[in-house]
Amino acid sequence: MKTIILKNHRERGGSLIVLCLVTVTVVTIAAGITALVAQGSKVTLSRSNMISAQEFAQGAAVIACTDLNTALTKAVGTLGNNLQTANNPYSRVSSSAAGVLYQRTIAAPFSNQTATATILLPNTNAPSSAKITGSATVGSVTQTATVNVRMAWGYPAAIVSVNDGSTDTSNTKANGQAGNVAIDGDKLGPIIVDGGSGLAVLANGRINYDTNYMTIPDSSYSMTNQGTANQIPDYTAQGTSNTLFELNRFIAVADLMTNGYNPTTKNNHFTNLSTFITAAKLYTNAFTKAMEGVVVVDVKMTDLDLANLTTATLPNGINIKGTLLLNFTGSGWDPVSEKIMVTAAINVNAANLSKLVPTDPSTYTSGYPPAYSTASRNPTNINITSKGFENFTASDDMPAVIYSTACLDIHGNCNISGVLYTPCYVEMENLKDGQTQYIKGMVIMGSGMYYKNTKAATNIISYDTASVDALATFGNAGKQVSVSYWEQ
Amino acid sequence: MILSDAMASPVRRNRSGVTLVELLVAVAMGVLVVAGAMAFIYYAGYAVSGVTAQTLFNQQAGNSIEFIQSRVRFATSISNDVSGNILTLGFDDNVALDTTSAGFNTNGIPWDDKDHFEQFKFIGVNSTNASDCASNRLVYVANTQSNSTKVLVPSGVRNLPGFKIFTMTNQVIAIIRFGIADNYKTDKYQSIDIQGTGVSLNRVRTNNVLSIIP
Repeated sequence: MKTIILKNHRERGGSLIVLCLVTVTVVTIAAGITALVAQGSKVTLSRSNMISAQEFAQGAAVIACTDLNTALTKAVGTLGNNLQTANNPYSRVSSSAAGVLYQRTIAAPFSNQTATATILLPNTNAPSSAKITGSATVGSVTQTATVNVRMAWGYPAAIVSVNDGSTDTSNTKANGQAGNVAIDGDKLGPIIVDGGSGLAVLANGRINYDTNYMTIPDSSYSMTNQGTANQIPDYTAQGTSNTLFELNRFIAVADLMTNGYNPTTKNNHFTNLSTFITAAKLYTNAFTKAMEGVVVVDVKMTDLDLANLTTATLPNGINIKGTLLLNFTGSGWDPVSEKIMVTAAINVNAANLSKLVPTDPSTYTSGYPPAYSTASRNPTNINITSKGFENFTASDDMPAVIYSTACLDIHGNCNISGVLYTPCYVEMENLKDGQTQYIKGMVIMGSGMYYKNTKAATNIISYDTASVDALATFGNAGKQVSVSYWEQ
Repeated sequence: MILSDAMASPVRRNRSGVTLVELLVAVAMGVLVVAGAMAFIYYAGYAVSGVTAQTLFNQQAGNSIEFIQSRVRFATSISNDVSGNILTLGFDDNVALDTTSAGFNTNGIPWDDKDHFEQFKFIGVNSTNASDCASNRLVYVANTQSNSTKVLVPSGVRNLPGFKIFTMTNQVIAIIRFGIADNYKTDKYQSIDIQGTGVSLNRVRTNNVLSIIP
């Protein structure tokens, strides 16, 4: 017989259970903490990637804005072609009703990162806007940035002078005639240049004013830009590709715009001052009875009425809604020394100044754009393609006053909303107490300006983006890519 | 024949038990093990609490400042109140429509209007002391014309030493500085300080005037 001893070791089972529980608890806690930390790190990494991607996308959009601006300001070629033939060329991706889409991949100046930029241009010959999108992916996060731009006037200022001027620091008329901007005012009346969202004065030459009466911050103006990176191109070279406005295009509109008050041509193109004065006398109110459309007046040196644009001849002033083009023709005119003096009020797109407070820019109202009484007076409804010109469009900003080859010397009241442009010299002299010379828009000239008010009168030139941004310039001259708004 | 242990050896059966000393040692060891486990779980719980609180604060602070920056980026106007506790942002609801806002006339620019206003509000007591800031909150008001708010940080918002919550530079840049802290001593007072800058891409423009006024 063999005896086998059976031993029971039940107590060991209980120890294992405790050990397992402890182990499971420890592992669970450790895993939980690890997961929590890992998740937190993952979220942090995603946020970091998102911020990086967002910045790369915005950077790509800004670079594309620069590319578009380079293409726009190139002297030759269409905008689309210029994009495709640029140093960093874009590919034409698609074309639809929304526009033509151009795209390129941007590597430089980023480090180890690429971004994609697209430019959507409206499908027209001269696009006035574009939508630019930058897109970048960092890690697993992709971000886009979209900016809407417009081809807008690139030199925002109340007074823009492209002449290189002189080094003279006086604020005399001679200094203005030398190509500078001379502001001559004293304690009697306000003489104001309100830059608003732009500069007060932007000039290649000097800006001279009486420091006894005026202390202005440097940031309000920019002068002596000739020969610098900020030089304003000379857009006043009539007859060249640097012409700001194609004058014959405006004349074409005036030729096709009927006007029964014109005793000879029966349209808005007056071939001498006499016929213009005859018609102008019949337009007696700047707001309710004004000549409308593009009005062209040919002025010859031999015109017998050169001295008749006076308050005596035109007691109600010159009242126009639209554009007045004084077309100095024939020989004898000079950009600086030859002028016609006007004491009659010049009202072009007149603003309601009944609540004008010179010290308060918020009261600087505008009469632009003009409200035409009939559609046939609106230049955009005049088909000038038969004369070889592109029609004006509703989005175009039409200038208020243009004059060529000589100076329109404004001595009386004026109330002008829109752009006053001349390749020549500008003289605004307020010579009578109580008068108001008011321009809401911009003054741009090629041969300097003399701006004077030493009377108990009011002079205001105020920049107005709304009448300038989409200026109907020749071949987009003076336009640059300008950001309208960033999109969410 | 196989006999059971008891039958085979009755004398040995008594020797298979444990002595009192053995029992005490075993119990002591068991208690030590369990106590160790409990202590581990106890402190691990606080560690988890601390990590969780810190993670939560990190995310709340990060999300809040990121959200504020994203709204500032597209605002057409930015302003803060004197106390620096409220950041007010203006937005253009229709970029194709030039609307009148704040009593001013339309300016011919359709995309710079202020059609509605949003606010980020610090609600509570300005302090850097965590115990004073327990009930401080940071909320978002999607439209000031409405009473509804969204809570971004529900508690513990505090100032950074010497700074307001919202500071402005040239009506263009909003600097946001705040901290979040709890008052829970056991998990060692978790907290975070954060500051960032929000830049409006659709910012207002400056005015430049040159004048002689009698």
